[in-house]
Amino acid sequence: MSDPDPVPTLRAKARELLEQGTVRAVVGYQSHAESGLPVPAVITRPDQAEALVFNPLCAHNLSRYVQGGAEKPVAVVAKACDTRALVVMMQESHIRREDVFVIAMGCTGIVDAARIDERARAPWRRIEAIRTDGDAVAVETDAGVARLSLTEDLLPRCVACPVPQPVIDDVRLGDFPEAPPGRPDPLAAQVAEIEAMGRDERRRFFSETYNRCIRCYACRNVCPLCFCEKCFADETRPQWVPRSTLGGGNELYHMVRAMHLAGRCIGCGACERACPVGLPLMAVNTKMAQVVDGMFGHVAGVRMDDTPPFAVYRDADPDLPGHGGGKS
Amino acid sequence: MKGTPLFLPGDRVGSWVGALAGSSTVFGPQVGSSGRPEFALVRDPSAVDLSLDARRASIRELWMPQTEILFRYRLDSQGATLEAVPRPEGSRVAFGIRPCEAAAIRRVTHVFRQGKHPDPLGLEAEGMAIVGLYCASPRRTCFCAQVGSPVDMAEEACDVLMTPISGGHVLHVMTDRGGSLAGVSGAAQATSDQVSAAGAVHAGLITAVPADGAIGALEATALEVWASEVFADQGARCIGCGVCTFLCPACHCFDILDERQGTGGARYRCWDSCQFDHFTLHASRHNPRHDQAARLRQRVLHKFLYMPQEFGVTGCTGCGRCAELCPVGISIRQVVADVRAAMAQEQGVTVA
Amino acid sequence: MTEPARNPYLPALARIDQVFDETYDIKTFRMVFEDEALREGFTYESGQFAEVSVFGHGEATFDISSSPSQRGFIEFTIKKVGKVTTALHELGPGSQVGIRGPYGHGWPLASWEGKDLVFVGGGVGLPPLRTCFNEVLAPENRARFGAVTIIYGARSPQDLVYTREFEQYRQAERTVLHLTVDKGDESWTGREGFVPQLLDEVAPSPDNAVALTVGPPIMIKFVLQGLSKLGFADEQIFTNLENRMKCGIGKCGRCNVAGKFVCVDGPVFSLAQLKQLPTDY
Repeated sequence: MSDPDPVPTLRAKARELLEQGTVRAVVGYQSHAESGLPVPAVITRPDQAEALVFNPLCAHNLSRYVQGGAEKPVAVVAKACDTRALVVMMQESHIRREDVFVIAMGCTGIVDAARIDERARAPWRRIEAIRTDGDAVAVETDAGVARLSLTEDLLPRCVACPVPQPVIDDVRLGDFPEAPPGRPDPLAAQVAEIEAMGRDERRRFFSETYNRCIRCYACRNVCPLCFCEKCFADETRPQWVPRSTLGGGNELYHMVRAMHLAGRCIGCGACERACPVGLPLMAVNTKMAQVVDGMFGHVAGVRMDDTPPFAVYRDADPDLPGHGGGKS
Repeated sequence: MKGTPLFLPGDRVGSWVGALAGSSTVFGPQVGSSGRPEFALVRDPSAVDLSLDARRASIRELWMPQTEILFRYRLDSQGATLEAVPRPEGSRVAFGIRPCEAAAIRRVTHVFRQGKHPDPLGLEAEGMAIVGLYCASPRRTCFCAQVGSPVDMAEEACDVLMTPISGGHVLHVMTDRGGSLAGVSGAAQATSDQVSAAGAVHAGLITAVPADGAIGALEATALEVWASEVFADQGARCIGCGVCTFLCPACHCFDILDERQGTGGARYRCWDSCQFDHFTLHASRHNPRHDQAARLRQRVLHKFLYMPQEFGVTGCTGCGRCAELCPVGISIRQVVADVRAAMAQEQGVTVA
Repeated sequence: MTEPARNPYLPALARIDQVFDETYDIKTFRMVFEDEALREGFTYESGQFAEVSVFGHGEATFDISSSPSQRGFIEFTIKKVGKVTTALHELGPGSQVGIRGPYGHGWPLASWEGKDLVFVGGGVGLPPLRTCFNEVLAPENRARFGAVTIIYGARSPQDLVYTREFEQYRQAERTVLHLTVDKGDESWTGREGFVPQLLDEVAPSPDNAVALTVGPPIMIKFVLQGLSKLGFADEQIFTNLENRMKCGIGKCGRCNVAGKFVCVDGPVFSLAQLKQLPTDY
């Protein structure tokens, strides 16, 4: 079953879901009115379905828009990886399976939009069209065509895509790779690089990284799994984290957030892409996922019938070496 | 362009920054520890690099630190002893910021200087000398020429404007303060060829920004635009983070908090954002701006309606940071353009 | 060169002199400035507010609830809801606080001379009204104003504030106090029902009168309807907006309502003024 251009089917499906009242809203991608880059769109009227797009620049993890107070039932356009976030939200009883209609989109990797600047002949302002052309994406801009490779220009998190098939879906559109691409994971390489640092160097790396944080909370707000009604960072009684950026507040914020995502983060990289000052936030998240996998054999959101390790207590739960806690 | 034109060869910028740094605190574009361009205090004049594109780095710190201690206190059994924290002293120079950024800094001083209780930040930002750097070309989301004119903004806000031309920069000295700054640059009188080359750069930037997207202050009352569907449409995808406001050179909202350390502590202010849900939350839990559409409306109207009404200038100079860095691509220019189009349609007027 | 601006965020030091328990979660704090000159010289308009701080915990905005006719101290009536108010509720006489203010515009009393005044308050909305009727009822001011009607209600008898002062209002000349509670208990012999209903029953005349109302948003909504029905024009109705504030001086941005800052242009607004503004409050 090959569907070279799933977008017409996607639009028809979205229209049908809204017309029949199956869902109250469809979360998908549309082209930005100015830049032409894909951006999230929350549509509620059937006629808006014509604006939906899907292409290898659709980086956003739209499951963020089905959090908490969103109108339900809702349909969401999801890449295979994005469905993992939905699964975690369901496992944690944040949303119900029946409230979300999953439109799974076949994907062979998302390219890094920042590369358009490098590959266009001149500064561009507007994308006219985005076409998949063999193993490249031809981004037609007002300043000429920028060709982005579907292997060389991928987002870091896509290079070694571990889960190319959706974990849950109500409809599948497009072609889904059968297996992971088997390329080395640049995020794992980044973790290894940091681990190879000496203690002081690593300390310096993190302190310089977090010093640059401006506490805009884009990383948290864009995260599909940061859905706490009140974030510890906003709590004032007690004030867990100082709001001032002079002391250790930044570091504390990022470290606690990472801990709260341990075993939950599905590695979509939305936080890192949202960061306006370019903090390498995925390094810690990736490390955390490695630790949880190593200790509990758990990978977040890859199986609907999994139990999140921090949601259950098992007598056989391992402890970190040297952190024996109360158990022998 | 007003002011006497001078010419400074490209290889003399470092020594000029060095001369300025001898008598002032200078901030300029440099490569930061992360390898990204940033505006930072100049410790090594040779590190200042005007070829860097630092137009997406924050310049808020130049006039309003993210965290600023308002005063400290010591606590003992008798009570608190308040200790003033000295304000920054001496002259300060912002070197190599863009005309839009310069105008944003000057405009926001209105807020701090007005009223019965002026805030020292206002006078300090006004007192900061600005050596502007004209842009040879815009970035993708830049729209200075759609919300005004970069030339006007330079004249409004810069003490000296540097315009990059072949071999160096033409310096237009616009104020007496600018005269003293340029006086230590070693720049010579510019030739007429150099002046016209600078003129071509000035015009080139303006034509590089599409003219059809021109926007300006909204000519309406808040009530007339309040219910515009544009805010709900665009606000639906807003994630409520502080990227747009924290990176904006003209945003100024802040929170005031205490931090206690042992037997003492400090009261400080830190950046806050109208885009955060708790910004307007009443003690009673009532929140007048209860969704992101309302918060987006506040950001847009504050800059394009309230500031123009209060001070006669927009609170946005088109630097384009918010639009380029927004994680979900919300463009303030587009929101304003859409609101204006909707208003025009309502009045039965076709928008050009 | 211009003189450097003074630090507008530096509070004056004060001590808590007395604490009155109003309800289980509301206390009135009488505060006295440490500086003697300030203690005697501090003046304010009823309806103005101040920033009160507990060092180490922070600063919050409160209406001044004492009357400008009372000198030597100021009072704030404070419900325990957040970080600063919780810290304040821990404090007793002798404890130190910081005070900045007064800020904003108070009730335009000068323009109300000779008029009847109708106060309609709900729950913890009474403090910004109390400052005003206590000023009006002060012997030196009383002759300048007409009849005073106070209509006040709360959820239960235990939620009424300033009960210790009710008797003096009942005794005051040309003054009537009407009370109600949403739901009474065995000790309550008074009226039950909501404030807007009580307003309907009392039916004060709009002739040569102004009405001031402060309370929860839902109460305000129906009180405004009631006042209009009674014939009060928008120019005769005043309220005090409770927008969240931090700086108090028009800088921090959070109490912005269209072109106005509630902290500078308010907190007191007439209904006529509010109708020119969007509902960002």
